[in-house]
Amino acid sequence: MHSPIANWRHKKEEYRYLDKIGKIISFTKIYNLPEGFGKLPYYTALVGFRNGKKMPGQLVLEGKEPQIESKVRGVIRRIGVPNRKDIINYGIKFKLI
Amino acid sequence: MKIAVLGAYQTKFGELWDKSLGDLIFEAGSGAIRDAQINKKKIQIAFIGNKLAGKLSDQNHLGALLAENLGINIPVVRIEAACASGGVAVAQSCMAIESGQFDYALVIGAEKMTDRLIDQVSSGLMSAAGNDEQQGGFSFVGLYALIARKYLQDFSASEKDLTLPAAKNHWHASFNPKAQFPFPVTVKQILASAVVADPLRLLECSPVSDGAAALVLANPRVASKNKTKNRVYITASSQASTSLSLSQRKSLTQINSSKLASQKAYQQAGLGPKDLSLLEVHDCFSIAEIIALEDLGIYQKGEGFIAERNGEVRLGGKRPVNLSGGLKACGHPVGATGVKQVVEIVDQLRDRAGKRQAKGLKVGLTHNLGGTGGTAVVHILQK
Repeated sequence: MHSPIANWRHKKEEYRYLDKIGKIISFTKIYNLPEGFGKLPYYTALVGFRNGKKMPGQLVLEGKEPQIESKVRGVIRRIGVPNRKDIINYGIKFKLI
Repeated sequence: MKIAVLGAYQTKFGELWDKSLGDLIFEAGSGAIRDAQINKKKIQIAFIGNKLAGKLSDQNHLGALLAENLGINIPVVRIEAACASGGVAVAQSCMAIESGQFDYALVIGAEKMTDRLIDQVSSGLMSAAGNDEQQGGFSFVGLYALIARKYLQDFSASEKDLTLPAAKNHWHASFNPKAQFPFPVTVKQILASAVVADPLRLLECSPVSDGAAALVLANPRVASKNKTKNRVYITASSQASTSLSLSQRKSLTQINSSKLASQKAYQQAGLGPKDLSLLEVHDCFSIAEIIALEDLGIYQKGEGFIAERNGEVRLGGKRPVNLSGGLKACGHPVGATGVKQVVEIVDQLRDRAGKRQAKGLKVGLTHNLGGTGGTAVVHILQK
């Protein structure tokens, strides 16, 4: 279960990547997962940005296949599947462009 | 540094449904004390390495749990450093003896993982990763899959090369009755197993395990009166750190903490990678063993997989690696692993490793990682 306060604090950092364009450094397709991450399989990646920062996150494919060096853009999406008592967690995923 | 290892013991690793965390601590601790041939009253301090007892066994007060199970009243310190909890516990025991305040120390690594469902275990393990990685929907195999994919992209290794450490370690485990999986698997079987996080497959991943291991360490001054034969000494104990999250590192295919810890250990022991007769390295996923061989200075960057191909890291080869079966096939009760690695090297150097006994051994090294290498611990042992 997520702490709403910790979630709010974390988002201030995470949302800096909204709409930013970066490149995939490496990626994987996950077939097993920790509690609360919903539908399988899904793609995750480590994304590098022009300012040298890196950020891990799930990929939004929309029919495209990821590659190392593929360009992505930070977008807001729901993260995982909350249980009844949990907050609905929105955060940054990376959409292939 | 010179610290005598008087006693060493490992429980069976596996799905031990009839054993609690307390049972495992008792078996390992009393086994090591028996092996040391000393009265338990001589032990002055104990350390216990464990990661998940709070989450999976609803128990955080492990110092008192150890004291209760072994019937001792000495100070006990619990160490948590993710999958390196056991290795760090050994390092802290060495420090306690080196300080001159204690002559005898007991160190136990123990973990009970199979009481809970796999998604609870998986989320417990993920508490050893960066917050950004947890938020990003990664599992640990997912993080190592990022490393593996980048390695395959940057160097001339193939997906088949990734299977080689797992196949070798299963073959070693087939000679180890205490291993969780004491049977061989073929490269073909590994390649046919389910993909867990592309490109890593199920049979390239270490399992969820229960188990414990323990050591009795002593100042060599008092150890000289001890009856144990074929004495083994810890001649280097070194720990280093790097960032918790992969996103904060310059390279995905090099674990800086392993390099730093091993360089310091070689310096302490006054020897180099070429002097090593055998190693136990942290093969939580097959790619981790390949990278460890490079980070420990034994092979050049991008060439670790060649040692796997040419067989020099197998039993009977020039420098065997993971004769216990490694984390992959001996099992990976996370807090126990770093201690078990030292137990295996002690058993090998004391010529009592049974069918997996290697010959002509002089110097052994253990390499234990926490998380994706945020913590690394290296020990060197000699006869």
